[in-house]
Amino acid sequence: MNSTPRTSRRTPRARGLLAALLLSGVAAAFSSALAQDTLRIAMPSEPPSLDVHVTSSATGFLHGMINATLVARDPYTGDFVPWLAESWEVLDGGTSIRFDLRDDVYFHDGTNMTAEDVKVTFERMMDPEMAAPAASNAGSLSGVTVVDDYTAIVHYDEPFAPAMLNMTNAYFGILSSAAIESMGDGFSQAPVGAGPFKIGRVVPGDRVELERYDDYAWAPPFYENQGAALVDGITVMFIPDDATQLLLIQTDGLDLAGAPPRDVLRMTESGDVGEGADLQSYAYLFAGVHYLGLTTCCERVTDEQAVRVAIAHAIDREEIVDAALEGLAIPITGLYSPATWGYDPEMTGYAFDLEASAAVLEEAGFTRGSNGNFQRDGQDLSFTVWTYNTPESVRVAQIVQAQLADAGIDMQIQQMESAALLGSTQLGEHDALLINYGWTDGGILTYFFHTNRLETTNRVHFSDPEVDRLLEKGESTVDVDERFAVYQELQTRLLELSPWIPLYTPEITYLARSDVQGLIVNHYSGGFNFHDVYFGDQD
Amino acid sequence: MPAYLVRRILSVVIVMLGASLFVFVISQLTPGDAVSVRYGDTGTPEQREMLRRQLGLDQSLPVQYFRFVGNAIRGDLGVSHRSGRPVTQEILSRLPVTLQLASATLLIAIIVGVSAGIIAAVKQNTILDVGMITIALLGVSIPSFWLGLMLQVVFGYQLGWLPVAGSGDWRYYILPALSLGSSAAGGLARYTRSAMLEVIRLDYIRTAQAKGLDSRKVMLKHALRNALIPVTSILGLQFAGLMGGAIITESIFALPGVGRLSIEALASRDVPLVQGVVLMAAAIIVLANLIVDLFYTVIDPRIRYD
Repeated sequence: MNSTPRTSRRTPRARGLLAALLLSGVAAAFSSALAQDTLRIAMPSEPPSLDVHVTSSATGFLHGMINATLVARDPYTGDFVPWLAESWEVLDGGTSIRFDLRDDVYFHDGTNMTAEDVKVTFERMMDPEMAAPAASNAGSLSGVTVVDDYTAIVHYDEPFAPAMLNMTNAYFGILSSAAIESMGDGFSQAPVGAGPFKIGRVVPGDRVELERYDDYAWAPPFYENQGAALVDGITVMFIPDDATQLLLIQTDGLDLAGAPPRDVLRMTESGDVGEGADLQSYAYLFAGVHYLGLTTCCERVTDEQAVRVAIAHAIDREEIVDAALEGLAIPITGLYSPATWGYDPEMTGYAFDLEASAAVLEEAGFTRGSNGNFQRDGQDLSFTVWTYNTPESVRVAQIVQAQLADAGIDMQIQQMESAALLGSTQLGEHDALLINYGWTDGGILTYFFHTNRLETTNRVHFSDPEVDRLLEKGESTVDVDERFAVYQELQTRLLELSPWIPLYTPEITYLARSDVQGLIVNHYSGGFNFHDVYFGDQD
Repeated sequence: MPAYLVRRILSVVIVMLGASLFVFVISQLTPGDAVSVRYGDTGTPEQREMLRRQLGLDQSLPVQYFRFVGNAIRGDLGVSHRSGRPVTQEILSRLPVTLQLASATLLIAIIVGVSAGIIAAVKQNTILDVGMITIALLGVSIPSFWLGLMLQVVFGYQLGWLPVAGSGDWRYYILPALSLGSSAAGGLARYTRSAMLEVIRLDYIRTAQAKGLDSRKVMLKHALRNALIPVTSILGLQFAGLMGGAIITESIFALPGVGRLSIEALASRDVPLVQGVVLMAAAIIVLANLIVDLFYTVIDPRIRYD
């Protein structure tokens, strides 16, 4: 990168600012005039808190900029690389991990990071009073031993295979113990970490302004820039409406914004996006899967395995991707996205085969009725799917509905707002769900299939002793190859029983102004790395 | 007047209690709870149960309701399940934006609506009258979200005169206020026209004209003052409409006001925040109507609340 840091911005913005000053002359406009090298990013909604121990929706855009983690994940190779820890070693068969910390790390409050900060951070996260959502991602983390100022050992009651991967997540950022102690409850409003940006101004519901942390000098090795960030700051603006985000980035009111694939394609075809245009597009694969979940309890029609298998045979994923998603997704036949650890392209499940679908149903005692639908005991084979009330979910549901109709299966669609849908699944009053999940480690399936999650996130009410055993084994198997084999076996079993029919993994598309340079797409964590970003002409 | 005020304040209390019961019952009927909000897809059953106890969700509904009302009377609307911040603090931090938007909207609605109504009445059955009333009808009929998008495209994107969205100085309020105010202005224009037409046919106006008074003075000083009485009562209702419209307008224009806060609270099933926002909206609407009623005595000295 021939970086010329902090080059001045384009004239249109200068013109806009001059106009703003002439028109209003107010202080707000003046302050924005000074912020010429600030990266402006849109997010659809404000995270509940900037404190990673309070929120269940930490994001790389915000929390990942304020906090640094012990270990990072290389965006090019997916390998674990040092960040706050120089090195680490897994001990005692996976029940402990020793981290050798850098001695030159200073939090935003100026205090030197030591092993005590690691201890206080993880103990705060695991404190039941804190009720930190991230605690359930920490496995059986039982405590931290401070060996010396710069050596900490993290202990688990049982071997916890996803431990290292989780350590790279923003939820596991190391916080300043001095600030936690001195700020008390106020810490959650303005958390103090050791990331490349510190919290500047927070306007609730509107924006969070992050300022460059000038003393930052411990960037992970994959960044070209090892010092402080190249931009002065990052302003994260909360803009709920897609169309508004699009208009803002087109009028230079934003530098980076998510954009529906449909819009990105349209704008690329019209020349508004691409080489020589004001906007460039970026995309990465979602680390998760959109699936059709079939309830396996409560005498629902989908409780019968033959029905689930027939539905699985009746679905054509290629058609879903082409017709509903403009081709900007990949069909998924296993339970993981290629961006999730555990992905195996060999996992195929039941192939699209209408004859096989019909044969399974006939064997189960269904016969074709005069209306073309399969029937048993005079009743049509019919079920209702709950899905989100988003255009994408509804389009996909309609295509699945049409495909199932071809197979003689009637599917009704009920659209629901996401919180209402997820909050209504505990009672098992639904036949099916068309929703998605996202996580970077395959161990996430414990949430969705383990018997001890029946009351919460096991939304298809699935219970199978063999699956429980494999899920537990997968969490505690530290050897990578052995663990991979466990998840292969698990996927095979789940695909055979078909409580979920995986459908696709979408591409997440973004637009950026063309003068935003050095943006790194992180395909392994799903998101962007901003540390090398600067403003300049296109290379 | 004092007896009237006491009666009205008592009715405010009853309305607020009714609103609190209504919002509490509705929020209990909607699926999802604070535990799901906090943990999302995470949290073990034990962690979820502990949080449920911490938040008092394991207690009976009447206990939860009376605790909520008792705290609300003391000004404590609870803590947002989502952010962990006090609900009052969340609302107060967003209220200025909504009040600024509502003020700008009312200003536009009054200036444009009342003026158009007067002109239409004075020029009854002319092209000007038909034009004004057609535009007013359009203002009432066009959905504010569509108008908002059109204003963004034309004045923000194509002409570049005004910011597309976001918050900042007064320029950021022009397009949202126009989008939200078009319906109110249209309604006011139609009411003002009708009220003026009724008044200008009365004897005292004819008398004033017969005396040779300047026709502008007759219209503005004699006719408008009486015509404004019914129009003022409509303003109270318009204000209630503005609070509802702000929800959509603030989302489209990315204004961090109470309207958007209520959408966020609803989407995340943040029950204390939803309850707080609804109670606040109810309080504002009730107060706005009370102020309008009291304002009658100013614009019409014949009205006495005894």
